[in-house]
Amino acid sequence: MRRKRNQLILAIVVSGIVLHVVQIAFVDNFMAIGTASPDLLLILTAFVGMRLGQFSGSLTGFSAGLLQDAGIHFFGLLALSKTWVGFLARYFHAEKILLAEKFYFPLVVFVLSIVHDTIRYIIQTLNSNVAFTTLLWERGVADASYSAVVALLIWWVTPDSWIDFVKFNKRFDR
Amino acid sequence: MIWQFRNVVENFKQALTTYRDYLVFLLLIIASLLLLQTNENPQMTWVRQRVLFVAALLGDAVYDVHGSVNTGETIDRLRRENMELYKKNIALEDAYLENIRLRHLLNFEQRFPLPTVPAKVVLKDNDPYLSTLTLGKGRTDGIRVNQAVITSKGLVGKILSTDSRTSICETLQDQQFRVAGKIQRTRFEGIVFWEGVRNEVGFYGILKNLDVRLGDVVLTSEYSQYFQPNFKIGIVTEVNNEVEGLFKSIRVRTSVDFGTLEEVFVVTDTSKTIPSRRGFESYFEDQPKLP
Repeated sequence: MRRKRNQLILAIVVSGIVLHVVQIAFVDNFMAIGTASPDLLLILTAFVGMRLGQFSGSLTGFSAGLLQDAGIHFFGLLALSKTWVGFLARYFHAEKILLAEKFYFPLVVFVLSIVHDTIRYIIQTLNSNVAFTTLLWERGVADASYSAVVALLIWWVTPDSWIDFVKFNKRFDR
Repeated sequence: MIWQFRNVVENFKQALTTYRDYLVFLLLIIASLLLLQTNENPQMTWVRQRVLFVAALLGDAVYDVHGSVNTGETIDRLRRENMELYKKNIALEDAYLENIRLRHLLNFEQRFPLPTVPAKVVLKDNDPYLSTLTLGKGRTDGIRVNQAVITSKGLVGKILSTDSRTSICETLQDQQFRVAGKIQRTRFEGIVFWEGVRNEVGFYGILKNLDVRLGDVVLTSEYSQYFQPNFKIGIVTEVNNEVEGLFKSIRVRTSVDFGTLEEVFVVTDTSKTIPSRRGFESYFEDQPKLP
């Protein structure tokens, strides 16, 4: 059990770093459509939150957010919004639906992405001429949609055994 | 006790395990907010301004609530402080008045031509048969029996007895007390004695046909056995010829207010041959005129 836990932690950490590198090196440069680009670390956070619980989800979200904050020079902004994502993801956990319906996970990612961008844009539009609703509608929905599409692609290519490996276990989680 | 402590620790551990997810989430949110506060951008400046404003409002509200909760205690404390200040004020006022009085007495002592010893009145005894004052000076200060006791306003009485540190003064307000007096204006002689009214004495021995007017000043006379002549006694307030006998009924208001007497001078020189005794009355303060 302890070994599996360590493997999981290592897997999450490595995935996070790899996804972040891929995000800044490839996704943001080559996959962006206009201003919209998928958020790979958000997809990871949502996945960890759903599969491993609020404790793991919150920690993953906070760490992933900190990594991204360093890039946008606004410390705490994405850490805060991704902590929320990791925490709320567990409320969407439904084992049977998740495995049976390929569209369930992308849908959850879309909803959590909207939550993420809502928190992010509320803070970013403080003391600004840009309206929060405009930003959320024009960029938030686009980002969320793009992230959902990418989440669907990832979900399709990920083997079921990997998905089953990352699974909530009360004894493990506690 | 140890069992209870263990129980508390166990309960705490249990609560931590149960609510771990929420606690970690809360800590991470707090950490994120603290990190946000480190940013120096327009958004966070705006937030900081609002937070400070709200904190100030809440601070005022909390202060008000705290103030209203502690109102009773505050009122009690202020009352106590007020009482202390009131006491201090009284003491200062007393000291101020005493200062004026003592300056006044010092001035009198310096200009009065006879040697005197200032003494504080430590006790007043208004016995109907023997009205006395106990003075805080005695034989060691040079005070002897039958020496005159005066104030800057006039005659008080004479020393009745002394011991080493205190002495007793028989006052004009004593039934046994007698002193030879005279009218300043006409030099008519008489006897001054107390008739039972505070700050008032009778002046006996002036024939009905002699001229005595209201407001005439009464002084000690040369016939006095114990007092130098011309110590001021008081002023005439009533002259009545409608009485039996040869003499007028004359009432004199004493120069000294015996009710407020606190410091006196004992005239230690009993010699009656000092040339400067003439005109002693001029050293005493003027008494208020009659209405």
